[in-house]
Amino acid sequence: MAEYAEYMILGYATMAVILGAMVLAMVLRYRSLTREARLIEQIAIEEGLAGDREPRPDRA
Amino acid sequence: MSAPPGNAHSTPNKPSAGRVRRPVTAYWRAVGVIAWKDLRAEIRSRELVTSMILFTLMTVMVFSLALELDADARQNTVAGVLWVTVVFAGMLGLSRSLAAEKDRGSLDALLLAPIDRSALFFGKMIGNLVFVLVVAGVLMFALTVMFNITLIRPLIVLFVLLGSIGFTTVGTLFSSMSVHARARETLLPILLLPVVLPILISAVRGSTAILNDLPSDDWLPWLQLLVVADVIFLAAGYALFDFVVEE
Amino acid sequence: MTYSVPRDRALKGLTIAAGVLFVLAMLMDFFYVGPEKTQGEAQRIFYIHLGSFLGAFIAFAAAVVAGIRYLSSRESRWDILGLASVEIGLGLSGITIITGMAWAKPIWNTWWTWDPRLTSITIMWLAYAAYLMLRAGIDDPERRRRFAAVYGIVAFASVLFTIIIIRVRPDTIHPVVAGPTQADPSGGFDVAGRIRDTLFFNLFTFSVITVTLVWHRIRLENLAERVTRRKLDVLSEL
Repeated sequence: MAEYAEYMILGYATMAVILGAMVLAMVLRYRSLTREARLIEQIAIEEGLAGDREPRPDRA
Repeated sequence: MSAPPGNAHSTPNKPSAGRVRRPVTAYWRAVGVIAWKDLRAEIRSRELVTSMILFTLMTVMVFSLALELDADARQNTVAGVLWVTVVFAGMLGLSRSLAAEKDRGSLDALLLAPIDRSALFFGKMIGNLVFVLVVAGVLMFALTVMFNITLIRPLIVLFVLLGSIGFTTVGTLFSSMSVHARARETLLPILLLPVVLPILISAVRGSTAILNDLPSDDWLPWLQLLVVADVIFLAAGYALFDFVVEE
Repeated sequence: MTYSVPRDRALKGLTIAAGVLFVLAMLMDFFYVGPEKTQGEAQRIFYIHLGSFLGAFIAFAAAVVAGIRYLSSRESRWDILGLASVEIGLGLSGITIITGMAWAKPIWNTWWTWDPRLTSITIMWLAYAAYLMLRAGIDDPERRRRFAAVYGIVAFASVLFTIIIIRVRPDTIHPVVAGPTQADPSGGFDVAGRIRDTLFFNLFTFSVITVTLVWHRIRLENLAERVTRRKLDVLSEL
């Protein structure tokens, strides 16, 4: 008895899409940020500047 | 301006001893002075209320032309027309109220005055409330004449009063935030409308039930909801306005 | 990355737990409970519908706490918690709305109806979308954090409205599962057996998912701020 199964699938699929989109957005932003950080450090080394001396944040 | 609304929430301490009484009356005198300042400026210039009332009448024309209402439909939509018009006309007044103050630089002077910040809030809010009530009164009269539905009834007036209190409380709080934004005219409706929609819904549904002479079971819950919302928003305005204007 | 080891490990553990719980919850939704008598398979949507709403509720409540704590302490980490919770809450309440629509189509024969419940949750969603507009519209960072905290607290009124509206108004067609209503003022809880087990498991799972997502979002914001600071440092030294 698969009454209304298509609507159930639709509901679960949209949930998966939204959750997936939230996770994907965070992963993509994380990647672009780490790439940017790496680029900045590379420039800092090339220009002979001091490394990142900022205390590392340990709370989140 | 005797006994402005929100009395119970805005008296900072109970008048237990005789000495505590004086600051409380000084507080309400400050509220009265701020509100009266706005009203007197408006009585002299008349530009804000005039434009709000003209806007109101034009909106009523637009509604009656666009909806082409017959007598039955009017009965069920008039409360909605009333409230949508009051909210949009009220927003015109709200966005002006603090924006004018800030552009003239008189906001800083007000903030430097040796009064409680929440007194400034309630003064501003009462000024705005009077504008909204004037507009609502004119509108109720106009709709009574043009829609042939008697809107001027005690219960409808009560709903309008309670709805306007909630609307202007949130409106004053948010307009003092939106004056600092880049696009202040567009930001205020975006911030304000979703938060006051519960008030709007309660007022519209309650008024419509009263206009259709339904038993009190049908409008009393909306009235209760309206009172609760007013109390919550007044408390929020009292507690949070300090943080909005500090600098 | 740059966080202390215990916190790193805790977050990693929580993330794995959230993933495992999610898979288990889905297995329960599809295989542990059978289809319902009148609503058929569409009834299974109910578990994620309620679960995601609980998640959104937790997130928005966290935004209120964050707002109060920010206003009293002025530490920007509370502001970051507020932003993270609102963003995650918006996503989760979006899930609530869309799964509700997918359920309503076969049961109510319409995707959408202007029922008090549906109206109020839409209002709630719009109020929190306005929170992001407010943040985007104010340039001064200190003022942006302050206003966001104030708005985050006031906007919670729309969440409360969503919860109480169906208890106040009898004219909604939206089902009420728990708590008192006008029709049944004594309260009560009208699900039992496997449906109840599955529901509670889903509620728990979505709570864990919410906490995990908010935590990750906070780390992302911390990283973004750190990269911006470092960039400005390097630029000023060039």
